[in-house]
Parts: sequence; C-alpha cells; structure tokens
Amino acid sequence: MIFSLDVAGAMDGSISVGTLSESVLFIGDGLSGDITIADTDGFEGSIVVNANANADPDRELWSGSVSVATSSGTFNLAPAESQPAKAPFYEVTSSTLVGTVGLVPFNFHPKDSAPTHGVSVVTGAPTSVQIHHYGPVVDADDDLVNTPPVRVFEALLTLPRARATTARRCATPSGPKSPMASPTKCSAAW
Amino acid sequence: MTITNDTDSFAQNRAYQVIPADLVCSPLWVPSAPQVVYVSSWAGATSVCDDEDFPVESNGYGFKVASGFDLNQNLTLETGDIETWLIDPVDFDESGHADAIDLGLLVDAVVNGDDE
Repeated sequence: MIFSLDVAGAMDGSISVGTLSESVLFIGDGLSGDITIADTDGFEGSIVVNANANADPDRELWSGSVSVATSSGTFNLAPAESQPAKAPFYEVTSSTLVGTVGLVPFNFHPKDSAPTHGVSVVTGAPTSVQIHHYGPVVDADDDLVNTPPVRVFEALLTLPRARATTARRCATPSGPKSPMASPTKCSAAW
Repeated sequence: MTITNDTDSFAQNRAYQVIPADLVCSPLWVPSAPQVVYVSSWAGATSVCDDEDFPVESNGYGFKVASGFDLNQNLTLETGDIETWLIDPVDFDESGHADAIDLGLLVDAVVNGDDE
C-alpha cells in the first residue's frame, strides 16, 4: 500500500517499519530519532527531512539515524557514520538503497551522478551529464529561457594550474541555441 | 537532471563545475519549493582571474575530463605521454595509422598545451 505520512514537526522518537513500499514519510522539521526499515530488499519509499523547509537549513537537522537493510547489508545512515553511510550526504547509491532519504534543500548525490562528482574522466568527453539528487527537483521557471536551472562553468586544465577560460550560461532546450551544454527540463526524477 | 551534449559543450582537457541557478525542490514534495543547494567542495574549476561571470562559490558538482593526449592518464601532459605513445602509438588524426604526424601532434600538445 502506498501512502504519505506526515510528521508535522521534528521527529525525536524511534520507529521501526517493515517496509515503506513506495510511500513517502515527510518529517516537517529535524530528525533526531531513529528510523529502522527492516525490508531486506532496500526500501522503495522515501523519507524527507525538513519538509517544512526551515528558513535557515542546516545539515544538523538530521542528527538521528535511518537504518536500512539492503541486499548489500544494513546501512545506518547517520552523521556519526563514515561514508558511504554518513548523513545527510551519504554515498550509498540508489541501486543499493533503492529508496532515498533526503534533507531539504536537496543536495546532489555525488556517487549516483554520472560522472561521479570529483572524478577525472579518462574515457573522453562525456556526451551527457546526469546529476542525481536526494529528492525531486524542478526548474523554478520552466518557461523562462534566461533563467536556466543550473549554470555550467568550464576551466582549461592547463599546467601547472587551471586557468579560467569562459563562463557560459546554460540554456533550456526551448531557448536559443547555446554554445554550452543545454540542460534538459528538470523532472521529478532524480 | 540531465545535461545533454551539443556541438560545443563538454570537451577534453577541461574541468567543469555545475552550480544551481534556478533549481528548486519539487513543490509536490516541499510546498515552499526552496532553492536547491549544492554542498560539496569542488575546486576543479577554480578561477585565477576576477571574471565576475566565474563562480565565486566553492560548492558545486564537478568533474574533470582528461586530455586525449594524456596517454598515461595522470592528468598531466608531459614526456611520459610521449614515452607511452612510443610503446603503444595512437592515431590522433584518425588517418588510419599511427605515424610521425600523430607523434608531432602529441609533442605539440606536450610543449604548448592541449587548448582545443
């Protein structure tokens, strides 16, 4: 059964659930309690921390833990853990975790993104770049070509250190032809 | 979110940094739709000039694309790439065979940089 569960404020208690299926648990404020999901196949659902989007977001809003059993073992997503389970920007990939736990505002997922964040690509220039996030994101002004969702900056790898070349704005696909990469419209997929 | 390539986008011997400009959390999940924030240090595209268009933020998603001449894949164009070519020649100009012209291209890149 798919459902949406809202916790209006902070969650400081502990709960254990068998599975979230594709359900979403919204925690309005911070998470200081412990959530245990026992489904051994990962969890297809989602947990949103700080769903009320506090005006002064801080990663410390997630001080509790989310324990998820997966086919690759159990991951206890918490700030005190080391990667790949260190919250809120854990590096467990979606292929392992299946579901997602995201702190608002959503950051990009460094390991789910392709190329991986910070990597040096040695197989030639990528034909596309996929940036995954810890929750769904959208272009705020989908119809405005002058307000692209992201800006892409480029620097030449000239030794002994990089120097700036040009900073070119992205354009949405519906906008004028850009010399730079054109991000497609953002979707609820992430 | 996917950034697709076009005729002049991602290239070799470059570093790229992506910073949210008008990206928000989906209002279907977060009604107030706050701006997405990228939190992760990335100095791969750090500017050494004061170009106002260049990002001042150090946070962002980023990656580097090694030069095609960087044959030993150490992110540096140096004589080691020539040594690697001598062992395993590469046909840079796609002429059908690796020859002195390809070696000349490599030497030029090592000496003058690969500013494509």
